[in-house]
Amino acid sequence: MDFSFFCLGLAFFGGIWVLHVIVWRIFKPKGEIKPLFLLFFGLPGLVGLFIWQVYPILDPIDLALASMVHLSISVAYIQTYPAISTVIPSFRVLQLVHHAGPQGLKAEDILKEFGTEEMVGSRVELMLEDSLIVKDESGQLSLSGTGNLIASTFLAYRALLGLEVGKG
Amino acid sequence: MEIKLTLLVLPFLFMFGLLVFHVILVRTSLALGKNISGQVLVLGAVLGFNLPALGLAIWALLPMQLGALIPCLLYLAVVYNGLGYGYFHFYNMSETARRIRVLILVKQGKLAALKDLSSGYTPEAQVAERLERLSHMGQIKEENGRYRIQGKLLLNAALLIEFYKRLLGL
Repeated sequence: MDFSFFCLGLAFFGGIWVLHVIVWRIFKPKGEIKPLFLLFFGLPGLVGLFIWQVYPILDPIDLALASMVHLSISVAYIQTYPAISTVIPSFRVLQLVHHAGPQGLKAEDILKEFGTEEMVGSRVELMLEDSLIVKDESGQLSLSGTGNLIASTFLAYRALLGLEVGKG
Repeated sequence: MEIKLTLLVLPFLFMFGLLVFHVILVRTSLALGKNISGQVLVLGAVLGFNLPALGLAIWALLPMQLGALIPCLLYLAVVYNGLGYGYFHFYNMSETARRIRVLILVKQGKLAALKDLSSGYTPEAQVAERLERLSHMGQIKEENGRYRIQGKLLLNAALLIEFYKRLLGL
């Protein structure tokens, strides 16, 4: 049995990751999730479609297996990315407490480092850029179709687990 | 060809099995009144499900020779753990992500404008929530009103992410 599909999947991911670093260093794309989805899923999807339909150098099953390897690593990477691109409060708390050393920090000292804008404002802006939330002329917020789908998915998921909505 | 199709289908079965396993763990924990951190449970589910997944894979691939079986298991381990790690973050998002919280607030009509954020989603409440969560996870400890580092796992992740941010020029 030929396992080249495994290496191919790794190579797919490696190639896209290098492209991602180059593009992000040069252009710093707006938004967060949409550009990553386009790069990690859209582009390989088009390449896969091209190989399958136009230039069939790979068996479709091998192509699907290679895609599975690429998909699993990409999912892990994309899920980690929000922690990289914006301030994660839990990580910020840990860094502050770590830098305070053995004397530690009071909750008030930690709170001084946070403001509403930093805690949620940056996220809302990213969601507006990703078109998950729509803001009308009067500043009223509403959900786009995709935003509504995501909110409904998470509500259903929490209900399946038997848990209340997360506190954010 | 048949083996390759099996390799293609198995990750989907693994993910369905992981979801069922996690739901059972969470619901059992709730029913027993155990105060176990959600993150600890989901991490346990993802890591723990490696064992039944391995058993299922070996059963599905037998009587394959050992030389061919090992690369198959390596492929399945990479795919399952990649998707499992994604699932861990999916759960984490449902629990802690501000974006998801904001989307749900907007959907429920509790957040109509950006100015409403300051009243319903205060920095005080969020910092308090995170201090409690990090204490519960054993990453920090509170003594005499002061917080100190206790565990290194999340701290190391935070420091690693700082390094990666610099690589991407963020």
